[in-house]
Amino acid sequence: MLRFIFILCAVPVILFSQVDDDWGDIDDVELVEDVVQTNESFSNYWDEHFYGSISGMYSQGARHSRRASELKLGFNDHWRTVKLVVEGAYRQNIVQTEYETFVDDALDDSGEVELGYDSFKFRQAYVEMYPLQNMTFSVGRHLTVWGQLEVFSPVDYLLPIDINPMGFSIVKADNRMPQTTVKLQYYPLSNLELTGYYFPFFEENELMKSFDFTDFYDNFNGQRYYIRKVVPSDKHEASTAFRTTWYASSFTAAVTYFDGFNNLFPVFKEKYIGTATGESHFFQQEYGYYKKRALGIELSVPFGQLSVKGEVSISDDYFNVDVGNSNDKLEIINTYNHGYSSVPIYLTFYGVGIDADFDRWFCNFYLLGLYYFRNPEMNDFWSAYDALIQTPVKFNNAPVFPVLNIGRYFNNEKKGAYGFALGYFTGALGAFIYISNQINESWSWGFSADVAASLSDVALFQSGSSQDGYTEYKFVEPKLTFGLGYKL
Amino acid sequence: MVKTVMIWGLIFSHMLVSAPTNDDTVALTGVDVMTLVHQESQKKSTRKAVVDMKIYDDKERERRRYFNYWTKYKAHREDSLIKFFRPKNVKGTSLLTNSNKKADEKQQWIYLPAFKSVKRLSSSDKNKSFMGSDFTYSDIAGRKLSQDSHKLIKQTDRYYYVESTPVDLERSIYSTIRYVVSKKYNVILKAIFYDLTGEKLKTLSNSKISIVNGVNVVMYSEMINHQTNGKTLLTVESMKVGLKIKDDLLTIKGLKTQ
Repeated sequence: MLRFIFILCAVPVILFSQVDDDWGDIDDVELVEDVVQTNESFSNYWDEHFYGSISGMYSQGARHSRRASELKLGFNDHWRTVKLVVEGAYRQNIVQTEYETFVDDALDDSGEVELGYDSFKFRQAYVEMYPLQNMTFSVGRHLTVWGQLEVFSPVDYLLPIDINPMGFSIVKADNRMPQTTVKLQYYPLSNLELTGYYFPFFEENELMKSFDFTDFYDNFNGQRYYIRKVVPSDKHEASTAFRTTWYASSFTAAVTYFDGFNNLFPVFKEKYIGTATGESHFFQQEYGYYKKRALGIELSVPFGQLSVKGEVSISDDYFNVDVGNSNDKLEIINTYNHGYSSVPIYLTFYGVGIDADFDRWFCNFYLLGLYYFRNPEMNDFWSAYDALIQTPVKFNNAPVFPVLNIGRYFNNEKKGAYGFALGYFTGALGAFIYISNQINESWSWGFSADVAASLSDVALFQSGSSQDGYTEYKFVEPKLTFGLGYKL
Repeated sequence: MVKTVMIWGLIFSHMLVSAPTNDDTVALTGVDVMTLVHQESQKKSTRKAVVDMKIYDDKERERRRYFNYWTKYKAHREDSLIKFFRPKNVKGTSLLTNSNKKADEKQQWIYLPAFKSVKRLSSSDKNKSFMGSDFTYSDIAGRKLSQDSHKLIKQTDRYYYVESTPVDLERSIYSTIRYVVSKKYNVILKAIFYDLTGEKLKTLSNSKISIVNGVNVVMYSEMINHQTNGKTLLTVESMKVGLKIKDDLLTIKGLKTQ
């Protein structure tokens, strides 16, 4: 009997011990008494609040070479009710290139020249305060980035750019021009962000400053009419924006209203001055920055490791009417558009696509398009104009064009990658093959081969033009680029 | 109160009308044991830590990351924020985890400073490695206690042995998690994770504990991945418990501004 009882007791113990096998050994726990409520070390403080980088690149093409460098230093700290951010960058961009100068379309001179610029700027310098729970108020120089599409965003394109000469970048912030900004953010719900922006000054980016056509002129009735440059100033230079972003559990959506200027490219307009006897109508040329209102809508819906995204911005734009020698057209623009042949219309800039980031590869693929349509405020103009020309005006809508960036990571850490990019990015248009990697946590390198035109190239390209002739620089060509960076 | 199991930090949350006691004379269930752990961790509603994370691959190559960690528990929600400050290539990257009793699962958001953008982590992202470590994003987020059924397998004079099984296996990357809980400290000393095929995947060992402001907190953790032979060590460099943390720090606002 005793033996039977022992077996009954032993069976569950044996079964239990089989389950136990996988629990493994349990080490004695150590009670640590010297680590209590300590403050952070100076080393940690330094790493947390200071940052910077030194980077350089060298490009070589058949008829040009280029070297660029950037030194960036930054600091940020966050106290109980105040945050301070300061970041400055010194940039240098030098292009050694062949050139040809033409006068009256005939070759006048050729050779090699060095072009370039350097600059120091505060990329960010602002104070942020928290006057109320769920509210942020900040003043200073900000880098503002909008849009859901990661590589290129129609809504983000409302903001001014400042081309980074350090080569191809798919990071929108790399090419964003900092602006003096007063910003108020309020979160009525933890996932609902309301942001108001006030940009008190109109700030023209360096790229566009280098465009200067004010030496160009036309003669009319024995008088020179120089091209006028229109830059907002004084009481009329401020811009505002209001943005709502909803970080919902299954999507992110944003609506942006912008009331500012055509920040990116200057608009060219012409205004009727007079008609010489027996000659065509004469127009005063002008270019610059005019009021621009825009509405932007964004949506991003994640599906696993990819997100389907769509964006659209509707903004003010202009359509240039070809008046020619038509007195009837002239009368219409004088009557309905203050003598300007540039007629206000609307531009729809839309993009749909995916941003995907898988374990070993990534892809950004968008289809973008431009579609123009009439501004209802100009209905009287269009009624008269349509009646005159009989056939409806066709705007120069851009066909749908792709932006593709696809590549593969070297490993799961995603530190290094190689890829191919094609299309229009914030700073450049073209095709790129690239490879980059990290040597260690501070050093990284990159290599690319491209057939692309950078917007900064365009500025330099134009810098040799004058009333009498133009200089054609030879640096818009295929090139190889090597870059090296060190994070401080 | 949010019913949550947080793998790192080993914080368990559960709402009970009557709290269990750590008394050998009372028969406890698996849920009761988890609740004891939860109660210990939430004696104070906030904590902030500076954490050194060492990641080793199968060739013993080391990578280190340092981050600040804030967490706050309230009756209806539990939130945390992680912000990396070292090394330089991940500096500023932040992870926000929000949970409330109405949501089916925790919401996680990541902020990438280079892009100045906030990205929501999808369900599949949550099963990915957290910054190259042997923890997943869902480990960091934690599991709701109601996501698993908990069974007290056995107990000794020093330990409880609890086996937890996901209620919805389709939404989990683990088929079973086995916990060893210290009776003395009411913290988990070991957690063994099994993949969906039943194979042993990872083992977490918590071998150092400190009593900070009256709360027993884990100061050193080691996660070993048996399938990749990698491991991740978490060392808490400093810890504050019961400090004041504003609610809006652990929101999208805090993610972008902290």
